[in-house]
Amino acid sequence: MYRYDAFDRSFVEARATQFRDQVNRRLSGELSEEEFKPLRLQNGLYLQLHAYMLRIAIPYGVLSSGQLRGLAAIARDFDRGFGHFTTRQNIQFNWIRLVDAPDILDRLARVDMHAIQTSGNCIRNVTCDPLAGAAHDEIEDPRVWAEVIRQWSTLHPEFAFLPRKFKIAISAGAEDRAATGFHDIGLRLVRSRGGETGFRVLVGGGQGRTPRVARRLAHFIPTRHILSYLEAVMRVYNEAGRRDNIYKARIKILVDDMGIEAFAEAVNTEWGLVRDTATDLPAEEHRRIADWFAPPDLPEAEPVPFALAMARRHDAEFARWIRQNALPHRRAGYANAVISLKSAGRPPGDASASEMEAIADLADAHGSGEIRVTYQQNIIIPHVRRDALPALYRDARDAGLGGGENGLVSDIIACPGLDYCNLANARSLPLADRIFRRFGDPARRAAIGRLQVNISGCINACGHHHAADIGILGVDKKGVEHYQVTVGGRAGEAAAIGRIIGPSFAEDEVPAVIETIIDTYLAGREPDESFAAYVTRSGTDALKGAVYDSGAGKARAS
Amino acid sequence: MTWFDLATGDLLRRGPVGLVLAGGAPLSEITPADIARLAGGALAIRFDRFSDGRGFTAARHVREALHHDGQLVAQGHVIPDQADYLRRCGFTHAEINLSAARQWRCSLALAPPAMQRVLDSPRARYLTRHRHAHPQGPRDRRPD
Repeated sequence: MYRYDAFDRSFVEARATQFRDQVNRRLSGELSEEEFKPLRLQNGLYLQLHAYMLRIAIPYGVLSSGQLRGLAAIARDFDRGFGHFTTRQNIQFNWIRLVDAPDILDRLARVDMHAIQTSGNCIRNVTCDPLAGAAHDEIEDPRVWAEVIRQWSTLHPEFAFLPRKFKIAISAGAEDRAATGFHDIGLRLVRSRGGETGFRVLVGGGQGRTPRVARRLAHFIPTRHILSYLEAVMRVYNEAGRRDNIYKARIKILVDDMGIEAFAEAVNTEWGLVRDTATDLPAEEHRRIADWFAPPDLPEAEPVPFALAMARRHDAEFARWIRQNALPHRRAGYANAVISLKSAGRPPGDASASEMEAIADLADAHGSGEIRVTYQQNIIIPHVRRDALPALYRDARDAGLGGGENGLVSDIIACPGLDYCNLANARSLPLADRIFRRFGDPARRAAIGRLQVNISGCINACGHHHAADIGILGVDKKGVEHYQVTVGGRAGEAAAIGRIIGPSFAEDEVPAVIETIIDTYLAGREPDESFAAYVTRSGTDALKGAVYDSGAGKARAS
Repeated sequence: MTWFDLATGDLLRRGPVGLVLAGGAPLSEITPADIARLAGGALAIRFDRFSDGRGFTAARHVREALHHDGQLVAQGHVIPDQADYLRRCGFTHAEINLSAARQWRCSLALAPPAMQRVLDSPRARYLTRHRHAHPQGPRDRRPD
């Protein structure tokens, strides 16, 4: 993985010093709150319901075990002993004092980390396939380009005050594991007929109150030109994006208003001005970065180790875990192991300081000391020998992290909701827990198979409810928390926005509604038919009928 | 009001401005002929609000596409924390209150080094790393 050199280190140290000055000027009243706000946001500091929240960048979701231990120490010393991993592969601390923030940035700098541009109207942390460099189906390691784009976008002088936030995701696998269709810019690494690598560029995807699946902006931009092309897109957006209405300020609205053809033409005009200037990265700087992502030295390993086969036979829990949580690796004899951050009583994506340390130990003992954070708010330990999986599972289970939930109905994505967030209409976390417990039987979860349930506490859709098989959206019904249900959304390939099934439900009704939807699907599906395929084939009438005939959704009339 | 030199931190008495681009005006409002008429005189770009970043793109446009090579002044609501961003997008001066000069100098000094190549960023990481392999262009003459 990428390691800081002297330049990178001096950069994050300078940034921490700069922010200390800004905090002091705010505390002395020299900076107004209006002027301070974008400065603190671009250092990851939000003001929430009860306290400041600090969001720390985990570039494209990659951490070393040492960095994760650094985060654990921050959780212990400055928060209430836990952190929260997000859908954008970052980590949030929810109980931060403003005066501590500069010290935390200093601590982060010591482990080569920062909180730059995790918030605010700027280019946010670039997200990526969590299996990058370890996936069985990728063209090349997308982290090289994610790092190139991270450096280009970090404190870019022209794009620090955009109309609105801006999110970029990169994916290089045959399967899109980075939800590129739901980002302001989605980059899919592809290979041309001539063997050259480049990007298919998608633009204008996003969720929130105006959900959009990204549209194709360019078929093929050679990788060596990607920075100048991105710069052209950003310029068109920065100049023409709306600034009069915060709800219409994202690039998706600009693309809607201009039309994709006119937008593409404007980008190409700008690109003509910048493409052959020095914006693009010199080849040797690209090589310098790429060298950091050389594949780890993985010795030959047994693809089907005897010990693993025996463990599967004798331990049903392990057999279930390995089926869900051991993902294919590009080398036979290796796997990528998912550590699930979903369990009863745990807010999705939460990890305590000691759990973070346990995960770091797992990565050192059974992997290569590397850790990935996923879009689904889980952790992946890449590069694990298959014959080490039983030991990894035992250690994870002993640390309370042995859940085999990956991809199942229990692998719920949820925003922090009304428990933390001042934008929320409704709580997400207690509902996630109730649904988790409703499907408490592991055999039943396995029988249902892959199924994504996502919960957002408000229309800003941080819990990605639009992109779930079953999405749940918190709404305010005359001061009472209610939940709207959508079905048929998809985040990966063939991204789609879920459709609302009808009137909203009281919180108490929701677990039964989800169960009714799933039972209806189980009764009506063809063998091996996914939920998405079932909804596409048979529509939503059967689901609606089953849900509303049962009397659910009537509470709203009272 | 006075002009703060974004390269040196010096103060300069406010001079004549040949053309002012209003905050948020479309870039098509300014033409190569306008730049030619300026004949190297000062051009100003107004910021109605510091958080409206259109002026940064406007600055690069007049520098790179229209080749304005005279003074470029940021007017209106700009804050010291933007000093380095303004400079790197091609502004030569910011119009400020005299009393703010100390903070502007301080903010300029506190700005982290540049990660990317923009217009002229002599401190950009791969220029310092590969200075000889990538000679700076004609626009890279101004001091850091």
